[in-house]
Amino acid sequence: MTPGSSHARDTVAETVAPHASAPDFSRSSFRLLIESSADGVLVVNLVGDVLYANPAAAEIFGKPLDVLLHVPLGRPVVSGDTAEITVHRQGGKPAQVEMRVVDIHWDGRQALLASLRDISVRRAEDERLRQSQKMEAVGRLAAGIVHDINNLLAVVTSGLRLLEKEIDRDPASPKINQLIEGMLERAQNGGALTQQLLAFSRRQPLSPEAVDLNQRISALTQMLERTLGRGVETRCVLDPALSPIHIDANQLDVAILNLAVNARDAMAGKGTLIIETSNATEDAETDSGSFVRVSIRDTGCGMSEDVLAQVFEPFFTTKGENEGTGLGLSQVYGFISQSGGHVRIDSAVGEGTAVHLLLPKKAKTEI
Amino acid sequence: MDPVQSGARPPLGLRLYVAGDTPGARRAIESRERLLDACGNRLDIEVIDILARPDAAEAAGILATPTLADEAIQPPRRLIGDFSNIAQVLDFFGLRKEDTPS
Ligand SMILES: Nc1ncnc2c1ncn2[C@@H]1O[C@H](COP(=O)(O)OP(=O)(O)O)[C@@H](O)[C@H]1O
Ligand SMILES: [Mg+2]
Repeated sequence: MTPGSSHARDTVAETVAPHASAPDFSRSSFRLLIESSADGVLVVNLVGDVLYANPAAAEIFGKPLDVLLHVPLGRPVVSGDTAEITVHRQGGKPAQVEMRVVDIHWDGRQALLASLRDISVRRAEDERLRQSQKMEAVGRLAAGIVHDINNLLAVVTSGLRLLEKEIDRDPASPKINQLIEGMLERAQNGGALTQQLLAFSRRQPLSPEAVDLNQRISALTQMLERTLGRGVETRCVLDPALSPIHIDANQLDVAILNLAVNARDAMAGKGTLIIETSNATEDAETDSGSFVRVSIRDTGCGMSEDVLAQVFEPFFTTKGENEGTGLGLSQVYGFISQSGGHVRIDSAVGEGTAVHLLLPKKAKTEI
Repeated sequence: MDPVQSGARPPLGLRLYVAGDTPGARRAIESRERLLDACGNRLDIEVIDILARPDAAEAAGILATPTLADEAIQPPRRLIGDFSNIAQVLDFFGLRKEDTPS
């Protein structure tokens, strides 16, 4: 501190910390506060010469205090509250600094007090935080996939029980083969799910194939009935004239399974699930001639607009810790968009929900 | 701007020191455009990226960026921080917006 500036310090004290709120705030303790502040403090005259610098400011600039004093730094200006500047230090890394500026009087003249906060560390921490958030997301995704695989296992388990009964009833029943086929498909779905985890870090290419959607849905629902529970009636309304589509069949099964499980949860075990297919007819927004539509309707609790606005976000869930992962609809959305299709949801609280998937008849060429 | 009148004075030449492509640098370059728009040919602002030309910054004694400097005078006049308040900047360098040469 330069001699003769004690009166000026006093002025700073008045500006920064009014006596009213700190009656015992003496000059020396104010000085101590400034000198030991973690923020850099500079007093600069209107021409831009440094009149005072605290040790933290000297550290930010990487210069001894006496060198920093009277350096023609420039008049600090901000717009709004702060400005972000880069401080360059000889032989060192540049520092990102957040600067605030207030008008003060110093030795009876107008001057500027600039407080400087080194945010380089904060920036680096932000970066680390982003990284760990991504790792957390991978972990949660893994949890979500475990949850989905559990769904599949439940489907397979109930299928095996059905099979057991069927064999007891009639060992030559044609239903036996159907059940085995169905369970084999579920096992494949499980494989597809683990691929999702890999796809999180590197985008997994989809492998679209020609799919008979009606057949696919019939096979799925047979398995679904047990999983959804006795209270849920499942009805299929399948358009026999449905055009074939090109899509990744495994991911499509996973998507419909996700939607069916959501419907079950929304109906709390009691209600009707309707799966409907048709050739898409009227839809202004899309080139409707080239899509087929699958609608999954439930008679469940429905969604508020607020919930509806967020459902596609990964990890958005209104369900409890061990019930929801918030990954179901984000899988549906991600997969359908990646396939060149569209997802629409009609829902209102108390009125049930309909999720419409518009699936392209032709495969999207580059995915 | 009247070309005859402005021709009477050489334009003021400023230097804008920035470092790379930070948000602060981008704001400063936007402000530069607005300053030039406001002043026509009374003003000229050279942009110096000190990452590309560290020697230039060192020679001028630039400690922090963005800095807007008039180095034609000694000691140089400098602003440091955010220059989006155009009127304030013009004022500092003696280039009032409504300033007409007499
Ligand atoms: N059929 C539905 N009826 C009511 N709400 C639903 C339905 N499907 C999804 N939701 C809402 O959307 C949220 C996100 O769904 P989803 O992404 O599948 O995650 P999760 O089922 O794990 O919660 C659910 O928590 C629920 O609030
Ligand atoms: Mg779900």
